[in-house]
Amino acid sequence: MRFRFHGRGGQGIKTAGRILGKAAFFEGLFAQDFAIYGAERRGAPITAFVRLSDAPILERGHIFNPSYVLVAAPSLLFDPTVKTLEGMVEGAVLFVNSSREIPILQPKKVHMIFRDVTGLALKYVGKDILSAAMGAVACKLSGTISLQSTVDSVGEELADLGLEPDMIEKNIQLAKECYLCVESVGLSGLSYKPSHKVVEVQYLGEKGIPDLLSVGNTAFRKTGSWRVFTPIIDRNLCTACGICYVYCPESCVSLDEQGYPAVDYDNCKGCLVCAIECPRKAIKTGRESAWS
Amino acid sequence: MVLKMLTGSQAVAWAARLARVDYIPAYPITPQTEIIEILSEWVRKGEMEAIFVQMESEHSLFTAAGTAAATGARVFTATSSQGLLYGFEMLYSIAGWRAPLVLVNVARAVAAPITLEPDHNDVLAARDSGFLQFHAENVQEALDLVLFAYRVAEDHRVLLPAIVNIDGFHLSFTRERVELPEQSFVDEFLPEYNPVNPIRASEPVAKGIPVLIPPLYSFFKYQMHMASRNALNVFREAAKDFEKLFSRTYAPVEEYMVEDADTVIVMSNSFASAGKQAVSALREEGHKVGLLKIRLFRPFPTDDIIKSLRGKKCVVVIDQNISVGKGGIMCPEIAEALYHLEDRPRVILPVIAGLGGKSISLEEFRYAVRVAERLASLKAGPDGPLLLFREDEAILVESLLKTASGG
Ligand code: SF4
Ligand code: SF4
Repeated sequence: MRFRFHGRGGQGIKTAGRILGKAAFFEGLFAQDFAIYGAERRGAPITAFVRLSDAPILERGHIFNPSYVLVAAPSLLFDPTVKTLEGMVEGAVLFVNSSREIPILQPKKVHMIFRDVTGLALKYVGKDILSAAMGAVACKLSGTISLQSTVDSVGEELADLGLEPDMIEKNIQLAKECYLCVESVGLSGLSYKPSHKVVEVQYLGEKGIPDLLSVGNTAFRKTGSWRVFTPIIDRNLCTACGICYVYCPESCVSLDEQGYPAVDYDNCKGCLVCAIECPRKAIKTGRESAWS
Repeated sequence: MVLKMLTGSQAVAWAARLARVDYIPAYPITPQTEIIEILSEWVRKGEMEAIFVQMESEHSLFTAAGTAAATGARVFTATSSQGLLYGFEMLYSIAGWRAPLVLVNVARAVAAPITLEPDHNDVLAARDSGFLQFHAENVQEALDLVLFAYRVAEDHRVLLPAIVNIDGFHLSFTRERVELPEQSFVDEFLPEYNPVNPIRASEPVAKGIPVLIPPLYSFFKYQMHMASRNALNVFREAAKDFEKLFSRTYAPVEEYMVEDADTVIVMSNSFASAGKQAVSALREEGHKVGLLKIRLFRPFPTDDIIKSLRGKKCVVVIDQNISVGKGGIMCPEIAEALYHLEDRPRVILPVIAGLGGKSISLEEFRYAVRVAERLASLKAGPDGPLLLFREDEAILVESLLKTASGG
């Protein structure tokens, strides 16, 4: 079985993969977990890979032919660089952390499951950290990992990260609820037939030099899709003191002619520094649903 | 023996701990940092009785490592890519001092352009330095080869430093099931280091002396070469002891379905797993293929390679490195090992693949095997190395080039 997790830096996706890997190890399976996090920073797309087998595993690295894909940050479904659905074939399973169904252009018959595990994480842990939640969902989906192994694995993996016992306990409660919130999905004969041609690379002269000519392109990357929480400024309470403008680490707050702040929602990452710093408590927060 | 889930980084850190190393000079670099983080934590907590020092660069790191080894300390350190190259000058010094220490290189392709993922241009740059080179495919092997490296390097017939290579990400950050050896068994396999002429405050020794008389320089270099050649048999001896203690064993090369194969793929390191998988798939399609994995790269296991490859029809050498303007680094060495045999393979096909961590797909293995088989039937030779690329990757590159040029 091959699992691919997609999420954003800070969501605990690498640990989710490790929870699945360790739980399978407790079940006596051969397991392999691995994560790619490129330039390590919060909010950047992260992918974790887990392979389970009852025989030694000879594959490693990126999984191109997943049996299960688990998406922790649904906005990634719409990010063309991440390729969340790559290699999914008929009969494969797609789990999306979302309270409602998201229409996904997917011609093949992929088994889709939507659950809002962020809501559960907020309820049990108080934060959008999904390692235990996504790990437990994957354990259940696999159909080969018991609740006990799942819980043991969550406990061990989070203890390895240095979490306090009460935080581990909260995560175990979260894992239990997530384990129960989905049904196992058996896989019946996935047939992944890669049919890529092999090509000769052409010499491109000057074009083959690694120069970036279209510089200053950061503006095209709308980091607003990273948001879990949205800051909403209440004009009635705001005194135009400008503190949020100074504190926003992303320069996403601008001031109008009267000095009142406005948030650039295309790029606000939802860190809520502004809401914490506002002396008037004029910035309210709500859960994001803007990506859809 | 305990079964554990360990990453490659954790495994080599465990090996250093089990080898009871005395001294760990360190400097962080992605993707090696996890190793020294683990070791510094163990030292801080008193779980390891070693001295851990963070240096200010790889050059001073290697200097500290080599000089400490010359005093008779058992030394462990780790680096990667640019870091290895930054300290490069000292590799030759350490080897010349005949100071055995173990350096783990977490392979990462060398800039520019910049990447974090592996190929072997970093570790193979150190090919001629006098360091022994062990290349690991999986996490178990990474752990075990560090133990082998100490045992072979410190043997008085060898006395040379060693590099153990593990691929960044694909091994360093991949967790697998591993048998963690028991301390008492490791102690038996790896007796205390018994240094030759160690530097002592009370008994001064000059190491790596100037030799302004040319024959002296030649003489000492030849000695190093012969000492390195000895490492082949010392490795085999160690493998026998290792098998008695741990019920698994290692040879300088590993054969995978080679015996009845017509075509053999030669590879090293973690991507050899993908190679084995491809071999199994190609067998099902009717190709009689096998895979030979080079585990010990220095000294070069010429006899083992001859034994595995003589009489074969084709050899496909997959180099995950590129000597720009020539091709792969390993292929000419394989060709030279086979050249004088009457029954040498008809075709030796040089292939470059997996640079900067690019995956090597079944299609690419199949393509290379077919090219080799066709050349054999045409009684022709290759005209340069195959540079493998899949069509979807070519399309991706094309679209990224377009974006980069503002098109
Ligand atoms: S939440 Fe507030 S501080 Fe954070 S990025 Fe958005 S506007 Fe800036
Ligand atoms: S910090 Fe609060 S009160 Fe001050 S400008 Fe911002 S929203 Fe208004």
